Amino acid sequence: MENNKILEINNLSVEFLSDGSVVRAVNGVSFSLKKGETLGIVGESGSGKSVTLNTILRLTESPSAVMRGEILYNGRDIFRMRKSELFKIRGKEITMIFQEPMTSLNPVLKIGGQIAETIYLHEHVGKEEANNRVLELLKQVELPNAGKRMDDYPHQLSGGMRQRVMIAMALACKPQILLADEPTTALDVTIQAQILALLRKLKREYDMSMILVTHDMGVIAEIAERVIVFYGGCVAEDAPTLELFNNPLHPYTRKLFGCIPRIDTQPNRLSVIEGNVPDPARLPEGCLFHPRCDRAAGRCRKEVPPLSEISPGHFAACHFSVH
Amino acid sequence: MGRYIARRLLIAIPTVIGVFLAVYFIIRLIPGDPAAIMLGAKATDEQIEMFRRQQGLDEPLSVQLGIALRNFMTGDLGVSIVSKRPVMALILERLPRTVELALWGIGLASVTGVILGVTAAVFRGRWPDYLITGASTLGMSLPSFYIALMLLTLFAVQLRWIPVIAVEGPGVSRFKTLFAPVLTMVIGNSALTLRTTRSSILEIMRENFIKTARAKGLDEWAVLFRHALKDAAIPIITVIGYNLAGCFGGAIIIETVFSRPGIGLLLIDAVNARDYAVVQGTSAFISIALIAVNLLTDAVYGLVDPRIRVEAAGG
Repeated sequence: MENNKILEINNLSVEFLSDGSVVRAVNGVSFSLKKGETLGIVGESGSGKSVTLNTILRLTESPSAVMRGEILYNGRDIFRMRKSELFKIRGKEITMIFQEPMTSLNPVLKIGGQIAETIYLHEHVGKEEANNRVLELLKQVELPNAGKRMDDYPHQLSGGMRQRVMIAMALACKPQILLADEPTTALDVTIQAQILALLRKLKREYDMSMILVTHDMGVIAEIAERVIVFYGGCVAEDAPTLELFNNPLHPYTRKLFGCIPRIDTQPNRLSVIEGNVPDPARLPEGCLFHPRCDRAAGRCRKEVPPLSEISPGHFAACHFSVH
Repeated sequence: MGRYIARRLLIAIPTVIGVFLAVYFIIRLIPGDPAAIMLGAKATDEQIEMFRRQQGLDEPLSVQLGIALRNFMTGDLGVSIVSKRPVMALILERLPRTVELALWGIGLASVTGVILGVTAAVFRGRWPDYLITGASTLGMSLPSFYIALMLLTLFAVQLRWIPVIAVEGPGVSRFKTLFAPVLTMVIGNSALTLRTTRSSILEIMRENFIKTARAKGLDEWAVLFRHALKDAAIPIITVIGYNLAGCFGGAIIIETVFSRPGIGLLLIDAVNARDYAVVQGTSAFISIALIAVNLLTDAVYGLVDPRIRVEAAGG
């Protein structure tokens, strides 16, 4: 069973030091990604989901960041890798696409060249072969007029087209894992659906594993096989998608579903989760969700609930979910 | 792009004429009769009168201006009353020295500025950054005549490495005549390039596409040189263009201190001798050079940033 896990994150925490205060963005997160699996991570802004994803490739590294825990890729800890080893994994074995397609491509370089750069970096190929591969990739991501577009600059493309270029860049060296950080958030709804369909298709064709971060339950339902719910830089719940939608255990997850409009119910007011996401510079004691939770009791204010397996494959971090 | 440059050239014509007129009147506001200065203290009134007639200085100002402007339009800059030689010939004779100084000076200042600026950005908030930005404050605040005088004292008087008069001759190589004037320009002009490079790079390094470049597996140096520097180039090129345009003015001071016979020294000597035609011709020439440098800077923008190319083509 163990070697089935391509990525395993154990007790990861990420803190940023800013102006003398400590911002605890991620607080002891553990989860794993199986080979070939599509994992969705959902949470509000500031819940630490993007930081977690970026930390997998050590992209959050800076003099003011403190990272603890381990990130095992095929059993090897990414934190302990030398830079030269890390650079071989970035862009080749684990690749990433970002939330802002409008600004994620270098505006002064041609898109074909930006994709080819990744190929040259990780493989010894000639110019002609690299060009052919770029063209092939652009066709795979269904960029219209791929042949002519290679010499275009990013500003000549729409947001959806740029995200396709980003995906082509991420796939250039046939990665094992694709990390997608809110890949559809900045796009129109119709384009969102196209990009999600494309990701699903390519994931199958390339036989990759994928982690997709989003704040959109609809996107999760569309693409993920398993979901992790983030709250305040911790895992609140971790379950197969269908199970989570049918039987959410954590009060936060339940409230999240309460915020989604449904077409088959009375048009009442949408429910709102009172209060705010905890400030990562001043996290509450005990369960991070207790200030917003209806069921919060004395124990919740003191003890941090552990993430425990409630039913097979379904984990939740709540003192009450055991019952 | 062609139409854009043509339009810019058309706009340049009134600018050059404006400079011509301004210089024309300002030089005549300086007290002193060119005839009296030319002929010296012993000249009689008759001699001065005759000289004025020969040179056309007795005509009304409007007539003189009309003639000067007409000649200028046809490319005739007139004849120096001191050396009796055509002004154009004087300028062309002196030009190579000034161009040599400007290109080496601004070229090296730019290379130094960009390298130090990148270094300061990489080591942001650590001692190399403080050292470099601190030194740049010094370079920016020292006036170039002071830097020039200090270098002249050090290298020509104390160390005797270079001649006091920067003219080639036996035992005086071209390098020796260029060294100190170029160093003066580098000290004065690299500071702004350096600061612009540093802040521009730091700004670009926060952009999303830099994260994309890192996620590709590029190391920090490749991220810096293959991605960030090209994006940071526009403000850097602006400053280099500004420095290049300004260095013609700077050449006046530097050439005077180092007694280097270039355009700047030609202009200063002509002002002192009230050699109207030379002052007029040289300043018009310098203003045309300035406009050319500005045009060149704009053209380079388009080479570096494809988004500017589109605007220029559309406009």
